[in-house]
Amino acid sequence: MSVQDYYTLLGVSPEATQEEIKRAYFALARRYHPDVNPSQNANEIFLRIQEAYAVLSDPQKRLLYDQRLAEQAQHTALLKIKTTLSQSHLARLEEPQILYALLEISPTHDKQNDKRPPLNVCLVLDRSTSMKGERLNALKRAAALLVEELRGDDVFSVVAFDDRAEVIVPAGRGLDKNLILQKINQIHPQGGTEIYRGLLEAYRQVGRFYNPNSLNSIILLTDGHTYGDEQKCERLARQAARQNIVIHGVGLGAKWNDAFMDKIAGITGGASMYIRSSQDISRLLEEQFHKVGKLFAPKAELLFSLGRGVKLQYAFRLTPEPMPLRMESPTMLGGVPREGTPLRVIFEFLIPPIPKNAENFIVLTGAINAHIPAASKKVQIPWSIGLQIGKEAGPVPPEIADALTKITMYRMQEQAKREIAAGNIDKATRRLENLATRLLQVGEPRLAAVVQEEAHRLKRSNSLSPEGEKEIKFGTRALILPAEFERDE
Amino acid sequence: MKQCPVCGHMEYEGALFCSECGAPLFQQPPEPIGRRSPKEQTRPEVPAEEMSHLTSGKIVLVVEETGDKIILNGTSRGEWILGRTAPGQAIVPDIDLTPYEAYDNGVSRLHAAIRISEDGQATITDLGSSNGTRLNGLKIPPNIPQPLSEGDMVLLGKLALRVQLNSHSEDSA
Repeated sequence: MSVQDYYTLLGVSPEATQEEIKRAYFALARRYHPDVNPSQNANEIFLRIQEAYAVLSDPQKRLLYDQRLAEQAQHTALLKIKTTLSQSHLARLEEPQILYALLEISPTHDKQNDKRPPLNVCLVLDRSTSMKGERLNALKRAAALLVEELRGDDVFSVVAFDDRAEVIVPAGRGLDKNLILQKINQIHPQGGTEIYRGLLEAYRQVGRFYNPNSLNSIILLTDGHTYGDEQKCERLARQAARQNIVIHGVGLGAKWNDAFMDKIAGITGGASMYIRSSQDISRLLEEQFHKVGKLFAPKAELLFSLGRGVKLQYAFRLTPEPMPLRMESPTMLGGVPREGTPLRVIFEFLIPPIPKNAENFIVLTGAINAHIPAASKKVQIPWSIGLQIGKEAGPVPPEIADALTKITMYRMQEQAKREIAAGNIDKATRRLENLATRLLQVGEPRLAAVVQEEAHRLKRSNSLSPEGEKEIKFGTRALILPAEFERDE
Repeated sequence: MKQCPVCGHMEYEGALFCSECGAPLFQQPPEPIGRRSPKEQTRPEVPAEEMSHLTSGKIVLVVEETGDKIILNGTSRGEWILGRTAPGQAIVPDIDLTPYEAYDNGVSRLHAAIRISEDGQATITDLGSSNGTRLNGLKIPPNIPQPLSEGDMVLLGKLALRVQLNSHSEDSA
């Protein structure tokens, strides 16, 4: 059975007359017919349009379909979605144009949502030599605080790793908190950093009490690079994602591999977080821990196909944890929080020149899949974007303008880093200077100063400092969070 | 295609920000202040003791050539960007020095920042300006805050400003 809502697919309302349906069908069929449009994508859309028309053009079938749709709506009522577009209509242009879409996913209000499902969390701690001293001590204190917050039905485990892994606290329920603290205190720094070892052991610990209706999470904390086992980590992350086990990365100091951690966490719907100094460990680790507990749906995934000639140029999760997303289907959107700020993702599409006589245009058709532990239910919600053509575009919605103001700055530092990698130092320097200007404009003088300094360093030495690079990346990311979230300083 | 008014980069129709310099390419929605209800606007502002806290450590810049006084207050973040405005400039400094022939004096659009730290220490930071900033005749390196003292002479390009801390501002406050 197709996941599409046939009405959305044809761009008609559920109240449309037979005549309207017929007209919409012919218009779309002409555009996506394999004879006219040889692409694989178009062929798929064409088949779906056929299917939709076959049902909606037959009053009997349409009635049955409407009933099924209503059932589905009830079933999917656990989550609601909202779409905001940068323009209400597409302009009739013979050149490409850009369209932004803001997708929001939140739980529908329901009393049963209020109860947090049990946690099944494994804390994976880097105990390599570089963690020695204040870092490891701060980490132990932070872990001790988390233990205090466990509920009786939560499953908790701790793994420490260097170039091998050791289970410090085996997964279990209702553990003796004093015993846990004692064991955590005995962690001693030694050896190098091999993340895969730690991750694999954590996966096993979470697996021992695995329950699809728990919040299964791995929180990985490291201060270093892992070498040679990146692909093994990625495979493990995919495996975890299939079981709704979410990996969160926490990086300490300047030397950890943020791109790698973003990737691993991103695969599972998690995110990585940057902790500048040891004194922030406790607060930020606790914040991360709370985020896990606040999830209503640990991971929402989007499956989609793009309309003819449409390019997805950028996908970025704004909240709960800002991060760029994969731009091919399927893409992991992330977790839907139980309350507060919803899951918000912004997409940038490049729309091809609009065919003459076209009345509407399909940008994307797809569906969002999510598992909801509190209701032990899987939900699937159709999501598609189609616009009419040729009328006034209307004002830019403030939420789109606001999101883009901030994302634009994040993208500028991404672009500068690509330029540095390509050896284009002058361009990258200019871009960082532009970024500093923008940051001053939005009232972020501290971050602007860091960016300025790095621009100068880049000019002098052709590279950024590792500290500065992370400050800028995670600093511009943090700007994306709404003000109610705690920020540094 | 459309052109960015700030840097001239070409962008697709529908793009809302310049991918080159980050400037907005659409009519900015009005600032929240414009949407405040009349009720909010007439509400008594910041309590007096809080105000005195914000302005304690007030800084006055005296333009040497004209004797004009620029009083730094009114922002709670304890920071003022000095510079000048130019046509098409997306960003406006807190203190616009255009009236003092900033352009001819070689003042950059975002030239320097004056900050007051929590312990009351005033500093000046050059923001990577084209013609540099001099403190008592010595050029200061960009982006490194330098402490300011009473009577210091600051040169933004060729524009000379005399620093007065706290005391001499009563007459103009």
